[in-house]
Amino acid sequence: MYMEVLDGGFLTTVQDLGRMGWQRYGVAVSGVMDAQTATVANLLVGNDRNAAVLEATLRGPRLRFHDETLVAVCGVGIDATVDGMAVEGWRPCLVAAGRTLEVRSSARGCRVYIAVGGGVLADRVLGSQSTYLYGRFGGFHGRAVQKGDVLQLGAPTGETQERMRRLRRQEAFFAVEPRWAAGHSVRPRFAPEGSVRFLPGPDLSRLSPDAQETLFAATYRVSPSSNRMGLRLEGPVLQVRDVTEPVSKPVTRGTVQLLNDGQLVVLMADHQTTGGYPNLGQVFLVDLPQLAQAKPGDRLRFTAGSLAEAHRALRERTEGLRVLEVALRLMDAYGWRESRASV
Amino acid sequence: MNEAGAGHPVVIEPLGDHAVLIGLGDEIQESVHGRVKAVCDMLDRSSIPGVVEWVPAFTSVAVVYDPLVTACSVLIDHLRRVLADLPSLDVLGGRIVDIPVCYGGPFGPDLHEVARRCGLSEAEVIRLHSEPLYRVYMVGFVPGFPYLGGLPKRLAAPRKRQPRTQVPEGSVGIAGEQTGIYSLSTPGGWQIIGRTPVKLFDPTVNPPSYLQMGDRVRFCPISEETYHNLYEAAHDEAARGRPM
Repeated sequence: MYMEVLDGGFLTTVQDLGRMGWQRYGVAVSGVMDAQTATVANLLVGNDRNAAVLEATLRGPRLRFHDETLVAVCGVGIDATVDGMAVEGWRPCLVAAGRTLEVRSSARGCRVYIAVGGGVLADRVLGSQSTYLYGRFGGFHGRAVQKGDVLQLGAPTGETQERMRRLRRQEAFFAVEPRWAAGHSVRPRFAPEGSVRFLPGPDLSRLSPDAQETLFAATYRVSPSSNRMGLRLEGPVLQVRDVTEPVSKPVTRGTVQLLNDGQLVVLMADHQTTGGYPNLGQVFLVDLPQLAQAKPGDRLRFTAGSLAEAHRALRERTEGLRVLEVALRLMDAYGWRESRASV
Repeated sequence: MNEAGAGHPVVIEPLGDHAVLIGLGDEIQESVHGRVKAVCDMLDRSSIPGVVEWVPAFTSVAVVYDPLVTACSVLIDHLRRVLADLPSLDVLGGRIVDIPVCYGGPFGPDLHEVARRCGLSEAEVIRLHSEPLYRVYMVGFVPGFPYLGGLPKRLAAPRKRQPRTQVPEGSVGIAGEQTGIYSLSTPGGWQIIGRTPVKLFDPTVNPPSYLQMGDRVRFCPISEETYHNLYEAAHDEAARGRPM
């Protein structure tokens, strides 16, 4: 089972949920930028949550499937076709052998996840198949996929096979999707000028009260120099009151650093393990998918939140994903409702 | 709150919603490093529910946890109990690792500049730089990058005004009172005085980092010829062990 890359798109990499446990050696966690969307994509095709998917940034890839494959395309504002026929996404899609999936850039979101039944089989390095571009390892030979690459797929699970069997009953030439889709409650909430919740960090008090007010009042624009390491934001210049050079400390996914030029960067999947810039706070883990979906030029604001709120929101999202997983299993066992509905 | 080693209180506080930061001091010094090392050894030995991994730095350790498995307050209580028995590591051991370095020439384009600034000959810079036993305070920033403490103050040199867009892997540099080795080819602003043929990071071996926190490093000057021989040996071996 394999798929061939006809066009790699802007930046398409193999990612799973990340390379945990090696940060003490300076190794970035990596993994998908938007774990929520990638998890939904994997659940829809009957995969394990940690199965490797393709993460497409801005303009997506063109992929030809050598064998009949169950595929899920998930993201914000999907614009995808199979041999020219539009597919809607956020649902399993049975793509016939020899057909080509094309994921174009969306006017709204930044990252689209393509999960295939059985998962992508790629280089497993230090326990993860995630591509770490900077270190050039993991995933597809440590780099983005490009024209001519052939990606191996894993063996479909029983769930994958069951869903393929059900979709195969419908006569289809190119691809067939059910009429139901994953519900909006399990998709990342995304608004072009949305706010993300923020936990105060150790160096927030080094800003003057006025500057702290500015941080929460301002609207920030996502800079084109953002990447998988971090989202650079353009907004009012902030300065810390003292000039002492802080000793480098550990940072986490979501840490908001204040750079020397007074601008902010939010650390994302490929972030470095330690940092010397002032740490103003951390974006809620549960709100990071919103940042992962923000394109250069999109605007966002910060709102202060509490640790209890962050954990409550994370538990709610996890519960939602669990409900989706159970609903899919029940449908496999008792039949699919063919009316247009969401699970 | 307990007291350990040099008398700094151990401060444990949330670092975002999926990590806590254990603060062990304010300054970069051997005694604080000893406590960082002791905390990591302790974490290695204990199994605390929900702990995913930990990240040591100069004066602190971040403990990454899964908030779906443990509550932050439960984790902090657990860490306080575990750290109450924190031994004071006044006498530090540590593996001594020799790092061969070819100084100057094409491998150390800033050696001349560093010597001029410090009012020393190039040979004196090499002698001073390869004299001390440096301490690996932490491995971080990028995979395998060692932060070394113990540079002779006479060799302190500012960062370059214009950072290089690409510093080759293995480059040995000076920035302020720090010295370090670029474990990957990256952009960088340190003054480059030499290069080592040793591979500092190899994701196909465990641990992937050649140098570990707590190690002591001695730089050994080598000739260009020795550099090339050692480079080939190190990289052939790596190529054989590498999966597709």
